[in-house]
Amino acid sequence: MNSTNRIGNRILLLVAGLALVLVGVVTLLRPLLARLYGPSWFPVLLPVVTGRETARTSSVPALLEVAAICVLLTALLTAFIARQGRGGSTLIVDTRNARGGGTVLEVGLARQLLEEELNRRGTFLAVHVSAYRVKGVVLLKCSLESRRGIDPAVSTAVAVEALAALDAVLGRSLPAFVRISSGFRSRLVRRSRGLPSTGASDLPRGARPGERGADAAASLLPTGTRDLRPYSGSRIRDRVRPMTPSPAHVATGLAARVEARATAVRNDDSDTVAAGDRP
Amino acid sequence: MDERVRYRRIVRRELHASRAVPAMTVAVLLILAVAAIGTVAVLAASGNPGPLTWAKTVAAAGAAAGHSAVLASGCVATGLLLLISALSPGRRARHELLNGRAAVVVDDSVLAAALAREAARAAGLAAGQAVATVHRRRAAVVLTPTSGVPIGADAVAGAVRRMSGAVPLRHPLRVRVTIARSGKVGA
Repeated sequence: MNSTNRIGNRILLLVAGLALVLVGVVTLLRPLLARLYGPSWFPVLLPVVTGRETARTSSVPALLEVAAICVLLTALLTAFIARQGRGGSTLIVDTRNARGGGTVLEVGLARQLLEEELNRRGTFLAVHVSAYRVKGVVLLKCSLESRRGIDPAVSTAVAVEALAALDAVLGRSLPAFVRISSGFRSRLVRRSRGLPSTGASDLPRGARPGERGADAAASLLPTGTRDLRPYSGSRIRDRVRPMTPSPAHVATGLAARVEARATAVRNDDSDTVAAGDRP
Repeated sequence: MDERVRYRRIVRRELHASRAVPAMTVAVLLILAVAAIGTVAVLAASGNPGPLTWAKTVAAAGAAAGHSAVLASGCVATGLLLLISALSPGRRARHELLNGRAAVVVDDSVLAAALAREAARAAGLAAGQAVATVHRRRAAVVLTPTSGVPIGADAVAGAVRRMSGAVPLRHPLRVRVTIARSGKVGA
């Protein structure tokens, strides 16, 4: 996906590996080589290095030459490291011409639309959208974390439908790469039998237990205990305790609502903001 | 570049490791070594031969008979590891899905979870009683029956194969379903 030079990586590993093996083998076989070629076996193998070593180590030009080579090598290797993992793109559409007219669409747009569309379906636990420039063409990368046990054919169909919806919005079809994984979270979230998804994760993002969750949790309690909620000793108690209208609570509640609103605007999350609130 | 060629390239790169981590580790170590040599050389050139003689002493001590065999074996072992990572294909545990719209790659763990779930459903077992492993061209599902309740192996195998056959993998899986000899009590 990124423009990492993979052949370069392998060549570096190959050269380093060969050098290490060669040095190790020569050192290990030193007694044998000494017996075969006499005490002067080392010059037989590496005459250049040893020949120069004695004559030149003390001369200043030779030392400066070594230093220059070292600087060059360091620069090359630093460039090699900096070259890894690049190729990301922030623009998905750029039709600007020489005179400055045209349209520019950022990857954030595709990200927001795809995330909203896919999160609505509930097939995936996590959606991550990014864009890369591959051989001069922008390509969308959708990393999708599947719920445990979902048929990959179904996941793919959902992803492709979302891409089709994006195509319809953008008015063009962007090349796309879809990766379906099962990450850490899908191992933690247990699937309840017979239900399409767990109740907890069905709560909209940003919804607080004090708002919608309280009603749902309260309705789970037996009727008799409902009046005794604050004293029932149930683990649900903390979630359904009615909010005391102290100034501090009002302030934090307000702050939370402003924050929810802000994230809603950022995420374009239709669940946390009523339709009338939208501009 | 043709769309199909581009997709092939992306999928190929996603199915194989980039070797970025070992390559960068080697590069960093080389930079450290080269920088040390350069520093010593500059110091020696500017009339401070102390580090140079010190480095020579260290090298001589390393080359002494007692240490050299251990050091050399370490060199060979590390070098072989690097050679293996340079030359082996580095296949990742993923499969390519054929799709008209996008290049699609699925982790083997996703495939395995789907196969296990289908097997458990077909056999009427709890999810934990079916375990699936997915390899490059084949998959194995192992069912642990509930003690005293027989499982129709053929029916389960048929259901799992139907499901795996419906996934448009580029390299379809040969699925084998086995039923564990001993069951689980009270599952």
